[in-house]
Amino acid sequence: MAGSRKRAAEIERTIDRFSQVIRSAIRKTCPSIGKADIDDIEQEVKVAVWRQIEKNEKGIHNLGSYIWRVAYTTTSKVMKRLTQQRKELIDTWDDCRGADKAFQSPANSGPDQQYQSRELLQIVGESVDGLIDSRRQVVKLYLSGMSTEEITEYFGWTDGKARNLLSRGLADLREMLREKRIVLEE
Amino acid sequence: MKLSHEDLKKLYRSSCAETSREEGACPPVEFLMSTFLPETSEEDKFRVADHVAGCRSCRAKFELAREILSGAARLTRESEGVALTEAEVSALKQMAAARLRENEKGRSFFFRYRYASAAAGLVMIMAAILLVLRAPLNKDSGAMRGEAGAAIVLLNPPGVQKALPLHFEWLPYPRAETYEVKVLDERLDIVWSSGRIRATSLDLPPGPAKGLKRGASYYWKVAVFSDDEILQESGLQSFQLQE
Repeated sequence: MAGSRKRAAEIERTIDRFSQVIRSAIRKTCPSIGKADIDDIEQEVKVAVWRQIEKNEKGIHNLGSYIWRVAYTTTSKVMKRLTQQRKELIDTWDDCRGADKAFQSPANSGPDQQYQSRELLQIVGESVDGLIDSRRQVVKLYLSGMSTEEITEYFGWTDGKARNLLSRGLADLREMLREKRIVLEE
Repeated sequence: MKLSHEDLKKLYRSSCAETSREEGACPPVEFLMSTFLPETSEEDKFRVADHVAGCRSCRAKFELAREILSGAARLTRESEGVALTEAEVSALKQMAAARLRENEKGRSFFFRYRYASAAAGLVMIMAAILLVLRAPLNKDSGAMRGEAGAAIVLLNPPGVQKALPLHFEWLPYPRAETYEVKVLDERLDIVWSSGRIRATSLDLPPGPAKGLKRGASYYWKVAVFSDDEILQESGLQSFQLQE
């Protein structure tokens, strides 16, 4: 009995750590979401997790997989709630990362600068879209901010595959940009 | 022009921000989430990756889900392979029921401090917005492409053109084999392009000339080519057809 309670307490600590993971993920993805909203989401996550555990009808044969599935189901519910009820949070997420606007000309810049910026954006977009399929997806995820380790984890690949595809994709991209007189550093 | 990898990432994200997506083109959240499951096919993962990289809204959801599930995966590795006995499952369910009851009782207590938390959150949001508005802009005002070298000198048309035909003229450029003239409207959309020509002057053909509006502002520019490689591009020069 004492051992059972001890196990339950360990799992409760894991759930607390999971809710911290969610807090960190939201703060990292968009720091403009207020603490009150994050507190709300954290509370919802804990309630959702405890509800799933309470309703569990099957045994738990692999605790690691069970926790991951609970985390996955809970994350899906949180995502749906955020997108349905708090659409403004989704819309402002990208705006938080001001760096995304670094190459868009301000509205009061001259027509020359505006045209050059637009052309540069178009060249980069078209060059990336022109890569062959498997390299294009990896390069796109890399340019969106994922590391090769994160790309490997997402696709479930062996080590090295993502690095190879990325290396070849960037080499192809470098060549395409070079034809447009744009030099991409190694 | 030289680009670092960081510049390229910013450029790519900016180019995606400029692209508008068709209504209904985004996958449902359930499908997006399902690509994090190990049993999902590589083909589906590729499709989502392709979409997400070019869609602001879905990229935000994707990144958030990835961060959370990566963190969850690290937590679960410690418990991999551990099986719970019936007694342990029962104790866990009892704890779950207790926590849910506590949560119901604690909601009124929590709500007392909602307004103070909301006010603090509002201050943080204002600070974040001010920080975003001060983000540095790209100050690269040099020639975007082509060698740094002599500028192309545009001679004609003058600012206000009284009558048609519209005559474009510029000085010959060293090592130039062909030129290309482009005419753009006020929104900087291209309304006409000459294609490659050898001469350093030409008249706007009657067809495109009829499409120009009197009183509206237009721009034109010249690109210089040698062996199909672009050597230099002029800046934009404005003109107007007199009303």
